[in-house]
Amino acid sequence: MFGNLFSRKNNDFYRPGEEIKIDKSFSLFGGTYEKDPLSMCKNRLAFAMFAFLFVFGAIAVRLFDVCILSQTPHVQTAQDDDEHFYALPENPIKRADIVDRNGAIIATSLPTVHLYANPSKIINPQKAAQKLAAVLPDIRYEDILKKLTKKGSFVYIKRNLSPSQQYQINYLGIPGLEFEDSEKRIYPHKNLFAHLIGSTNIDNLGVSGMEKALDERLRESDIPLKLTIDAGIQDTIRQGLAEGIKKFDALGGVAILMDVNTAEVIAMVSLPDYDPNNINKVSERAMFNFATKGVYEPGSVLKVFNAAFGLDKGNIRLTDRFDATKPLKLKYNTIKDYRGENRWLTLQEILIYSSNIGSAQIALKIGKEKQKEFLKNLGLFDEISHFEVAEKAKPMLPSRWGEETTATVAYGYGISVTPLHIISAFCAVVNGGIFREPTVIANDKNRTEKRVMKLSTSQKMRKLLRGVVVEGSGKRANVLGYEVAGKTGTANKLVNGKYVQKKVMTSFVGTFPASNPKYALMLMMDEPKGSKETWWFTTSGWNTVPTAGKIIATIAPQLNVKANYDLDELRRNRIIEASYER
Amino acid sequence: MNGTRTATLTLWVTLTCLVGFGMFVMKNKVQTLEKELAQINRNIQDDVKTIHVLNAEWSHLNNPSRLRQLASKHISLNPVQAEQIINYSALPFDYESDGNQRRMIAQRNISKQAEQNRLKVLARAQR
Repeated sequence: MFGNLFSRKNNDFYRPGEEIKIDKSFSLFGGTYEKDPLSMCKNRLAFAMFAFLFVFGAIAVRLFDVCILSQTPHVQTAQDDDEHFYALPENPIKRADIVDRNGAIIATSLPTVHLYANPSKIINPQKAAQKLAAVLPDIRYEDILKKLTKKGSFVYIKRNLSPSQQYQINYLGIPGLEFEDSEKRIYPHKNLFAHLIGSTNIDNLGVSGMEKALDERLRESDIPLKLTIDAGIQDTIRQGLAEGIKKFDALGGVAILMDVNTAEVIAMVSLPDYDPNNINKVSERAMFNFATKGVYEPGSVLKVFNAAFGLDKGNIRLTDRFDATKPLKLKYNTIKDYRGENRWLTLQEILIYSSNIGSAQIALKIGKEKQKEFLKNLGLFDEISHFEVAEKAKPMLPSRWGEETTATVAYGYGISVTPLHIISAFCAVVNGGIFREPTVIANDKNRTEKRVMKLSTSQKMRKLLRGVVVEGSGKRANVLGYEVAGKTGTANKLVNGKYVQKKVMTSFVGTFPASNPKYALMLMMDEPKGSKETWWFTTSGWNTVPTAGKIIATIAPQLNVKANYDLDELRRNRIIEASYER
Repeated sequence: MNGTRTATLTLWVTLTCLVGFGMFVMKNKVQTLEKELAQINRNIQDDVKTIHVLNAEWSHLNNPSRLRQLASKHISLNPVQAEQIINYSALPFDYESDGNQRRMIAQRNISKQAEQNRLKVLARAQR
C-alpha cells in the first residue's frame, strides 16, 4: 500500500524531449498530482521565507519584551544589591558559630570529608578493603570488607577523614569510593561550656543545650550567634567552683553569674561536666545540667524573697520585732531554729541568724494568697520557658497549699526550684524590683519585664542582705572593697521521702556592690562534706560562702567593678610607697 | 540586476560570518570568564574553610585555662586585689605635670604623713 504512495509513474510513451524533463508529478492516495517545477520552487522559497519571518518575529517580540516592556531585570547581578553578592559562592560551613560577648569562638564547625562506598561499583572488595585498611588503621579489615560486600549502593566507611587520609585514599584510585563534603562541630574550650552549649550528633543536629534549643537558628543562618557569656569570667568561675568542690568533697555544684540590671547570664557552670567533643562514656550525673534542670529545695535562700514579701506586701518595718523565743507550733508540726537566738528578732536579725520561726511568722501574718502571688510574680512557680537551653525543669510545688506550706515555704522548704530560678528572682529583689526573664543571647529583645516590688523594698533589701554578709552567715564572702551582700542557705536532702541530716545542699546567693548592685552570683554545692578546717560543719557559711568570696574577689576586678573601701592611712601610704619602689 | 544580487548576497554572507565569529568570540570569552569565576569561587570557599580552621585554632590557643597555665609558668602575676586599685582622690599628693617632681611631692607628703601618724601614736601611748 505504502509502496505505491510516492511511486513514480512509469510512462510508456514520451513526447519528444519529455523523457529528459524531470517529472515531479506524483500520486497520493490513488490520485495523481501534476507538479510544475517552477511553482514548486516558488513554494519552497515562500516556505523558507515564512519560516525565517516567524523565527525573527519571535526574536523581535522577545527582544521588545525584554528591552522595553519589562523594566525590572529578571537576572540579578552583583551591582543590583551591594549587600548581596549573588556571584559569591555559598558559605561552605552551614552551621553558624557561637561566640561569647567579646567575639571569642565557643562553638564552630570545621570542614571535613566522609568516605563512603558504592559496593555495587567495587570490582574487587577484598583488594579494596586491604588497601583501605592500610590507610585507615583504626578500622579493621574485616569490618571494611563487610561494608564493601553489602548489598545496596551507599555505605559510610569512615566519617571525618583527615586531609592526609583523604589524599591517600584518593591516590589508591579505587572506583566506587566517594567523598562527601561535610562539617564537624568542635568546641575549642572543651568542658568550659559543656552544659550551656550542649552538643550535636554525627549529622550535625543539636542534641542538647543551646545547640538543641536554637538548632533552627544555627542551621538557617551562618551569621555567628553572639552570647552574653564571657569566656574569661566563665573560666575563672569554673576554676573557683571546681576548687571548692574538691576542697569540700562535694558531689557537684552550680555557679551562675548574672547581670542584675539586664538579667543576662554572664557565666553558668554546672559541675561535674564533660567534654562535648567526645561524648562517649559520659556518666549521667556529668551530663545533667543542674543549673537549669536540677530542682532542689533551696532552704534559707528563700528567706530573701520572704523578707522582701514582708516589706512589700505586709508593711513590715525594719524596727518590727518577731517572737523567736520558742518554737512555733502549727497544727501538724513545730518550726524550730537551727542554733536559735531565743529572743525577739528584727527583720535584719531574722536574716542574719536565719530564723525559721521569724520568717514563718511574717508569711503567716500576711497570708498564703498574697504569698503565692508574690512568689509567682518572681517566676518561682513556672518553668523559665524563655531561657535558650534545651534542658529546663518546672518547679515542684506542693499539691495543697495550706498554712503549713505557707510557713515552710517562708524558710525554703516545700517548693523545689532550679538555681536559675533563684538567681533571676534574686536579681529582681536587688535591682530595684523589676523581674526580667534571664537570657544568654546578646541583645535579646523579646523578653518580658515587670515590676514585682516597690523600689523602696528593693533598697531596704540591699541593706538587709549587706547586713547578712557583714555580721551573719555570709561573713566569709565579705570581700574587701566590693560590698558583697547576700544570703546563705543550707537544706537537708530529701532521700526516699525523708530528710537526711548528714546530706545537705548548700547555696549562697549574693550581689555586689551592695550600694548599686551590678552582678549577682549564685553558688550551690551538692553534698559538701565537713572537714577539720570547717570544724566538721557542713552549713553553707563554711563551704559555698568562702568559695563565693574567692570567686568574687577574682572576678570583680575583671568585671570592672569599682572597689570602694577605706584603708587606714598608714597602710595606704605603704602601698603607694611600694608602688614607687618598683 | 545581477550585480545588485551579488552585492546583497555578499553582504549577507559577510554579515552572517561576522555575527557568527562575534558570537564565537563572545562565547569563548564567557566560557573563560565562567571558568575563572568558578575557580575564584572555589578559592573563596577554600579560604573560608581555612579561615574557619584558623579561627578555631586561635580560639583553642586562647583557651582561658591554657592562658592561665602559661601565665603562671612564664610571668609572676597574680589576680588583681581590690586593695591594689585606689581612687586618685585618695592619693596624698597634688597633680604635677613633671614626673620627677610629682614623685618628690608624693614622697614628701608620705613622709610628712608618716611623721604625723607616728606623733599621733606616741601621743596616744603617752595618754
